[in-house]
Amino acid sequence: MNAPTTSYPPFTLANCDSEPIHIPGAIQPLGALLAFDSDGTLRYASENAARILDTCLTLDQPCPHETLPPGLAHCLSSWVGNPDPIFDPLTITQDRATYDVIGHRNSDGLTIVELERRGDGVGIAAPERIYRSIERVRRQRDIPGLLDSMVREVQRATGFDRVMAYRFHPDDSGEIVAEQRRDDLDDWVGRRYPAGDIPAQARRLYTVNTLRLIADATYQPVRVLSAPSPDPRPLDMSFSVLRSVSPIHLEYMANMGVRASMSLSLVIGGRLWGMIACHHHSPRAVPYPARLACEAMAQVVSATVSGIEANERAEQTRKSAALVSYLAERVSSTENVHQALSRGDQTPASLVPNDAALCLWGNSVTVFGGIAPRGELAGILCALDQSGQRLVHTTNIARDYPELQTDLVPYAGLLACKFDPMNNGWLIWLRKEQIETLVWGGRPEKQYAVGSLGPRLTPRGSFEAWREVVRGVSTSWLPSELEAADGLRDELSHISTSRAADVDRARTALLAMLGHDLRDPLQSISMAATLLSRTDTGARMGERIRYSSGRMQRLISQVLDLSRLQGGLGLGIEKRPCDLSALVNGLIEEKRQAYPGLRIEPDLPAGLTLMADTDRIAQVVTNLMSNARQHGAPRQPILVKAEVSDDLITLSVTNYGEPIPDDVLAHLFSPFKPESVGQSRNRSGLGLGLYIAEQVVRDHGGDIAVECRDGLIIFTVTLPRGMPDTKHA
Amino acid sequence: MNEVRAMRVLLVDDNEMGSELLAEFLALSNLETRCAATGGEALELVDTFAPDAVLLDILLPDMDGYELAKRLRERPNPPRIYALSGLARHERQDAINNIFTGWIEKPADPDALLAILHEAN
Repeated sequence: MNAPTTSYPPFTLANCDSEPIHIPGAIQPLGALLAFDSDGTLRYASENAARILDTCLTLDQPCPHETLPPGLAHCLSSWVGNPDPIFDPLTITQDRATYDVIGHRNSDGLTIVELERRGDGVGIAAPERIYRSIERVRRQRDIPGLLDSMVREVQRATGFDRVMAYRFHPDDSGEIVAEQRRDDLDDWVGRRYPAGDIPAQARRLYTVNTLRLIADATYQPVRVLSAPSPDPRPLDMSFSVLRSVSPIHLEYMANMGVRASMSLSLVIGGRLWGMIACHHHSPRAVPYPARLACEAMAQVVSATVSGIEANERAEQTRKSAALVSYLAERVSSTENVHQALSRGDQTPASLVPNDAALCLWGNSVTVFGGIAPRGELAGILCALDQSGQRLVHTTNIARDYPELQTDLVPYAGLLACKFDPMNNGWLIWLRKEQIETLVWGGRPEKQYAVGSLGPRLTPRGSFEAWREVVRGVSTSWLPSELEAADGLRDELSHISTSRAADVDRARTALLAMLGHDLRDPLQSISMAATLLSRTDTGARMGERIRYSSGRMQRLISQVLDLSRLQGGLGLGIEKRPCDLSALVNGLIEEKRQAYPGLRIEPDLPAGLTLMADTDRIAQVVTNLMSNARQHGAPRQPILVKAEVSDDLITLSVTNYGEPIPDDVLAHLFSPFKPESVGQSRNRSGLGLGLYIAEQVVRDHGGDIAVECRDGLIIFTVTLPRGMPDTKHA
Repeated sequence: MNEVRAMRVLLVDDNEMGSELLAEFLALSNLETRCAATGGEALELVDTFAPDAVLLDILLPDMDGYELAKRLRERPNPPRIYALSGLARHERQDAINNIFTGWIEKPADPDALLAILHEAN
């Protein structure tokens, strides 16, 4: 007595991902199925097999060869027990119908023989024509072109009403990216489907068995029977061509009015990368040889996609590496890491696609692209820091960092890394949720039928489900993007670590030098005080004491400025209206009094005003004039010139002299100059003057530059006037 | 040694105001002084001035104080040579033993300095 191989409770949308679709116990009624064990015993047979073969079949018995069609009997004897599980197909004629006989070995070692009745093949291209189409497809050089060409060729070969190419995103959700369709059908390009539309076990099946045909979705399944043995294992039909499909899938097809479908998997590296799906609104059988040709085309396309993607990845990796080394070089060559990262031609923002990116260092923040997150950055960084990860990333802030959800509005995805713990250096890339930019495209939806499982089983239902799944979720951070970000983090943190060590060494050297240089003015003070007490030239001595004290004062304030800057505190600039002409003229007058032989030639329009910190600007001008006096050629004048154009004031201090050597120029604005330690001393200070001057100018939104030409050394300071009323001058 | 001649001290320091103050102080104690701002000036002066003692700074614009001290020592009847420097002496112990008669740290107490100069006489 024969029994169905198994019976299942009904599967619904809620549990469809556990439906064992590879053991349906039934086939589509396109032909018959037989399964033999290694000694030729018939273990399974479809209910219709005896009728199609016009013979009597007994389960758990070997099939007498004389009862089978001769061709089938012959190959059966060579297939069963053959260790090579790949069998050549053949065709046989039974009852005036042609059958493709397709054999394979399943996971339990059973030899499965399927007889598929060949349809009339009307409107289907000959296999050799399809193989030629492959040539046309493989000529494409990019993925969109490849998929466009493939859907066109598959449609030409099979005549399906609609042929679509799906691409699966990193989260396994699907998107239709190319389509060839009958003119009266809706455009589906751009439609999105949640990953769950292909349950995990179906995805696995699509990956290993890359072609599936449903010739008529309204079919009545034919049961596959097994002998009533003590432990009947259900028949694994993973690679069967006639396998019956899930009723849930059939309902989805029915709701769309689709009667026949064929799918071709695009598998890359063992992952379902994409799929070619074909729909027809009436039954359509594609003969086995034509399907094999389509499958070959899919394999060529998969291989080509894989090659293109590998090239793209290599190109992306090259670009990322170039950007990382560009940024690393900029950061290495300057003290101000934040400026190096944020003010170049390229910034970290271009490393990883984003809707906004942030660069934080010390107390400075730059936002690239979009708007800054709503919340306090300090709190955000604190929370990210606590994760303890080298690279913090999420596509779903609300789920993974619920405490940050409101702070990071309007963003849903975050990729962050800390590259400089000492200076609180962070890079953050942000992405919005993906549905913000996506709407249900196309013409107004045609009314689809809704089956017993409800409206979820329609494209519209799928799109709504996809929207639900991706609500508050950004696009995925790709492995290559994470790798690029980590690469940059790694480079920058190396630099900051070695810089920290450099700064430490230089700081030690500086303090030692400071301890040394302060002794000199102290010696003078002590000597002058001694003399003062023994002579009556008190006034002159008093002058000298004041001078020496002043010098100590300047040294100390430079060191204090330095430690503020190095500690990321800034100089505390306070801008007020400032009369630059009066200020500079006053400073020139002071210099002339202090150095009676000194020639200073000013070229200043009267009444130049700007918003600035007067004391700090005085510090800059004094420093530049002192440098010009000390390093300028003797008996040559110092030229001090200012002019205004639009909203910019340009102030230059020029002296005659030999060009500054390149190695000195390289460190001119650095606080720690290699040449300033242990060599001939700088009488006027610690060599911090230009470093502090540059910081002052930068903090005013300006710039300072040096130029050597025609026997002149020219320092030029550019400052924005920043006056509310620019007509004032 | 000529007992009636005042002690002659050559001061070598590019901090000219410092030198000048020190010279003025030493003059009050009847020492005869000359100032040189560079190693080169010092070597020019040393022949005509013939100092009994030289007080020199280590960091000079044209040569360092060790170099200058060595070159002064190579002369006939070399003067006593003292370093007068902001550099701490403990870092330079070997240099003191080999090149300098003594090492005086800045800032030095003026009277102690005077005592050191007289001590050797």
